[in-house]
Amino acid sequence: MRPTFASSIAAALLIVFGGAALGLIANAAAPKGIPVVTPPLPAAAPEISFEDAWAAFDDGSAVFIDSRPMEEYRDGHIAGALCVPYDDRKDHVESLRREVPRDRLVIAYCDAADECESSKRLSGWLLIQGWKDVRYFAEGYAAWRDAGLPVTEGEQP
Amino acid sequence: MTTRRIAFALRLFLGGLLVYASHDKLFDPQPFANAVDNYQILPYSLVNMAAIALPWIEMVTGLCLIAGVFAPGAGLVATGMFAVFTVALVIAVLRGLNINCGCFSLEEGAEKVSWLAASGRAVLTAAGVFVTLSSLQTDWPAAWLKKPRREKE
Repeated sequence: MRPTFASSIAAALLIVFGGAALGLIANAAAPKGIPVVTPPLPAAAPEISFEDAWAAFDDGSAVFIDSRPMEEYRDGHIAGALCVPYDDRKDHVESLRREVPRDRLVIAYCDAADECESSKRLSGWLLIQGWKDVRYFAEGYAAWRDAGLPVTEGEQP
Repeated sequence: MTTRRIAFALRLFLGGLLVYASHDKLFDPQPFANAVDNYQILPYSLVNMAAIALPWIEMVTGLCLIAGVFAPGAGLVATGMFAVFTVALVIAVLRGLNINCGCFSLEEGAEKVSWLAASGRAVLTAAGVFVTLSSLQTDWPAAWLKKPRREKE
């Protein structure tokens, strides 16, 4: 029997739905299976206090991530912080994976949490991406700078 | 080499490519979900579903192409997938994203999105069209039992 275009469409649908069904079954059975519907981003990771953020900076146990736009980062940021603008976060995920171990304390900040939401959102997104110990620093860059703590300007090294 | 033999070889090549592309995504979909999410094309809630289903559709399609079972339908699915991958890569390049392609490997340092990667998928799309059309001209469903036939002079 020579195949017709209609029978080929039917076969294609069978392959697509059959494949998807196999995927769902395998995902349900696999130890590394994931939720079928992507869970919504958590509103935010837990907050970290100013004192604890400073302590983590001082002993070098944390990686600070600046969630503000690149221009604001260039104008000044917490010394050593990485630049991951919230709107461009997916562009930076590969380099973050290379540079920041998943079990490292990660602290996201923007200007101040009552003025910007990006650090909260970024902290939630980082949790979804697999970093286990993420916090957001509510007081943000403004409070850090005004306290005279280490800041730098310019591009990310 | 006749057109039929070229189609036969291309069918095996595309089938093998799809099986290879799917093999490390089948039972660990999270890294592939991240790769899909990085493209920022699908609604966020559908990313996991795509990451769960796509590798298995690739695997089934690849096996059908290799075995010659439902070959025209598998050719259609392969063509559709390669076309979608091409469009996704073009959009990612136009947006200036510096992300992994997620095509054959999810390891760090794997192929990045680029015009070259998009061109490669465009060529595969064309190959898929060729395989589909040539498969429509063979007897079915037992074409795989037969050797490639000689074209009439």
